[in-house]
Amino acid sequence: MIQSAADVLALAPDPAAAKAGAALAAPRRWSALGGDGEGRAAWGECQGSGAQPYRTAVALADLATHCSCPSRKFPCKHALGLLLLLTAEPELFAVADPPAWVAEWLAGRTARAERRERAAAAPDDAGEEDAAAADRSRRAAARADRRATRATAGLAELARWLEDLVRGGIASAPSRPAAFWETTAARLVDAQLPGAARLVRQLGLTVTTGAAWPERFVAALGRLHLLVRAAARLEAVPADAQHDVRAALGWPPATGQGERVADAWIVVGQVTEVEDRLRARRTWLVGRETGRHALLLHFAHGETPFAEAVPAVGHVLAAELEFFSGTVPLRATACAHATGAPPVGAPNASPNDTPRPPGRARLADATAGWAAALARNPWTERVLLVLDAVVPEQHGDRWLLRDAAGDALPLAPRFRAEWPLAAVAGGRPAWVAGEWDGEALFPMAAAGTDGELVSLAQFWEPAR
Amino acid sequence: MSGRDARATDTTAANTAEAGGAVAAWGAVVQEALLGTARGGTTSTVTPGGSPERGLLDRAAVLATVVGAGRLPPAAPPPGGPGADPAPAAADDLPVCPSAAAGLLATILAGAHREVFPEWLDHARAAGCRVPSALLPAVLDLLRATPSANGTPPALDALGGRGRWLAAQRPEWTFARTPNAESDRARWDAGAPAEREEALGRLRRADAGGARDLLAAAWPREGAAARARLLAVLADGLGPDDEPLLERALDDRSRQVRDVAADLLATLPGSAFVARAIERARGVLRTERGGLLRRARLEVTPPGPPDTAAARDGVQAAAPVGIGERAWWLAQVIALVPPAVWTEALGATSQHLVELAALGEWEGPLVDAWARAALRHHDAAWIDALLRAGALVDRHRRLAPTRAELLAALPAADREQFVADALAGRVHVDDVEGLLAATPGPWGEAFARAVLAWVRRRAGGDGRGAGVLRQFALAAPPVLAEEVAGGWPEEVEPRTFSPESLARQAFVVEQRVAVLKFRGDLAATFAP
Repeated sequence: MIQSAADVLALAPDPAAAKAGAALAAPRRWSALGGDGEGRAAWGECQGSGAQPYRTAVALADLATHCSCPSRKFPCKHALGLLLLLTAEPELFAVADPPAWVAEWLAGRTARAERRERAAAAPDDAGEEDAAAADRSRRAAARADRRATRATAGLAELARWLEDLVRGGIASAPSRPAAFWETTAARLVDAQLPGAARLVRQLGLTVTTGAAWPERFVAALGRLHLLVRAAARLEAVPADAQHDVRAALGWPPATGQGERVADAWIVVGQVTEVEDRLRARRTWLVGRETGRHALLLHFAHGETPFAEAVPAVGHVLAAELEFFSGTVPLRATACAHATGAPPVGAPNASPNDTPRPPGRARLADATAGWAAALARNPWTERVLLVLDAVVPEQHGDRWLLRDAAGDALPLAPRFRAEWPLAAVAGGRPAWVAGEWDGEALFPMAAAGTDGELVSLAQFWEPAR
Repeated sequence: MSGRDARATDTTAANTAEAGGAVAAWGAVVQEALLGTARGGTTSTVTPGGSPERGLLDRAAVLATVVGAGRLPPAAPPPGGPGADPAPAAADDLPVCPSAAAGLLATILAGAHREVFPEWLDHARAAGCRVPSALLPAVLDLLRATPSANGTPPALDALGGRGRWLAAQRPEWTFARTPNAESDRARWDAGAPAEREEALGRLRRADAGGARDLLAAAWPREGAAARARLLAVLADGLGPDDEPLLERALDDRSRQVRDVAADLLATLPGSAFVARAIERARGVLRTERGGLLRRARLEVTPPGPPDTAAARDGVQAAAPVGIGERAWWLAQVIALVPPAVWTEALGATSQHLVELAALGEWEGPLVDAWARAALRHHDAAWIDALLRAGALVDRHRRLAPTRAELLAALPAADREQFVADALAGRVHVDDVEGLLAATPGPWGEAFARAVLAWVRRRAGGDGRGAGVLRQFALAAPPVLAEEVAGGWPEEVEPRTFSPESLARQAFVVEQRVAVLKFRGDLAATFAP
């Protein structure tokens, strides 16, 4: 929800975009400003460096933005400038009929939303929908068969490739060109095994991680090999572990059968990463009553906006979550409200009204959660750690969190907000929520003894 | 198949041994993998129907999971990095600023309206609140990059206790940390010259007498250049108790040191130095009525060459190029006398005396000397008279301060009055923009309107008013925002403005109005 310039700037993907957006929030840069009378949408044209002005529009209900500029950031600086201008001087936006390009975009979004709703409501429909549904399921089955064939071949090839690697010895791995890993990954993508392709790319990256690379490399090899072995005899794997294997292979999860949990879900952190033109946004939630951890995962291609809006860190999502099946249920989706409106956070709740989820005071207890997850699902990549009473400290150029028992967790090198974190903590034990991947912690939000919960995302740039 | 349970976290002895075994086995697996199964013999038992490679990969899969899950958080190294203050921050006595104000600060830190940053800090100090903790690092970085806002009291107040604690954690931010007498003493005793000067300055601000005593104690051991620089630190909080040390310094071997001492002593009205100066100047100036019409005149008797005592007090015998000997001696002697002495001794106002000086041949040196003396003693009446007399020229001269320096020494109301008169043409001034640059904000409303009117008369995109308008946007009361937006002339006879210059003018005006509105928002968010 937009209430002030700070809310707009919080949407910015990085500080450079925020600054550029603030510079564009001047009336003189814009022409043809307009809004629809009900405050659903606003639009304008911004003169940029090109010949034609860029056309920018925003849909205010879920803060989706649309712009004709070539920027890859989302939202782009023009959208940020338009939103800032709308916040500061709404009277500049004359109520008018939307121009053709805005109406088209809005119509396209509404159509997509309606299609999604219809698909969700499909099982309740009867009658002539049955024939279409049957046709769809036939085609889906055929697709699944084709996929299974390709996958089997791809997995067999991957198994041979892994064995070749260990036969020759991995000492030569660092000297392999990038194409060596990329070729195998591409073939796995063709074989409908995108998850395995990702693991192969990660395997290739471990050789660049410094002196300890052999251990990381062999661990990644082990995970890949385990995946190949498990996928080869999927039917013999226990039912809930089958979901883990499918997820690790990158196959779409089965929906509609998962556990549903209704709660007031507190947003404790958000991270957006870009991988090969695909943007992935992870939003971590902790249930206020149940204390369960949940992960919302949203994707967007290239420059298109995320289709779903989530409340900001510190706010509450009051909704029913459906967890995906697996041995360690973490990933979930939010079920739509009974009214059909997408679930969003309460707009007027300030972060200080929400109680902080309690955290673990002993790091050993917190990382035991990681151990438990890994023991059930060996392909777990990260878990949420909610810590209490930890102190951020700097040693040389590395940072860590120390607990009262004298243990420490290192912070991820790619974390750039170490000084804001230190300032919030003030040298005293603080509350920190972050992602733990077995080696390092990436803090997403923190709160000091004076209670203000701060999202650290505004201080770092998304990992590439 | 999918890994044993991670029981390495259990602390019983048996499981510890098992964990140790797992770690050793993992190490062996990694070594084997590095060599490759083709080369070394494998230590694994090969499952029937499997290959050595598969056996190795199987073991890698299991052990990687076990070791990864079993890893405990390592013990933390002893606390305290280089220069870090290990003590945690004290509970802050200042409340955090309102969230709307924090939002505006975030906008400033993101790069918009950065010139309003000092004003934000002023508002925070006046409202008794502080910067939110998470924004402190960016605020400290910005303070470091904008030296004019650095170290002035408003900035540091708004940091709060948390900000000062944070500043002590990093060498780049030490300018903002709480003054710590012990560490300053340590720096004074054993630091590099620049550090010692800085430390002495901080000690002087905290305890003027103590700092002077430290300097006096170290005095015999210091080199000449160091003596001069450290003595200059006493300018902060100068008082009569400093006189003995400064008198000693007048006899110093180094000319630099003597100059600094004389400069400082000249600003102490009750000192023996000033008494000597007044005595030396006795009889140099007299008013008389003379001539047929019995008009008032200023009779000037320039002093002779400086004697030993005068030379000790800093009066130089050799004149610089461009000024005669006697004028030089006259100017120096007069410059050391507080101008109020003349008002009293000659029974005339400063305006009258300046007017009388203008009638004689000694106007140049007299006006320069009076200006230097008026600046030293912050004599508002004399400064005003000298500024208005027009005799001051902004040429760089040995003695005379610039008009801008004199302006800065006036109280704000008098300063604005003078500049308003200059803008309206009631006082002749060559460089109005220079005067305005020497008039810092915040401006009074009437003065701001006068400046606005002046800029409008010079409108037309030829750039003359643009710099002033920029200053206006930062110094004028924000309530004037609407007034500024309109009323810009489309043409001023006999020129008509081209569309380009009109567009440029509109662009500039809009930007400045935006700054004024931002400042208005800022004032509103801090208002109770």
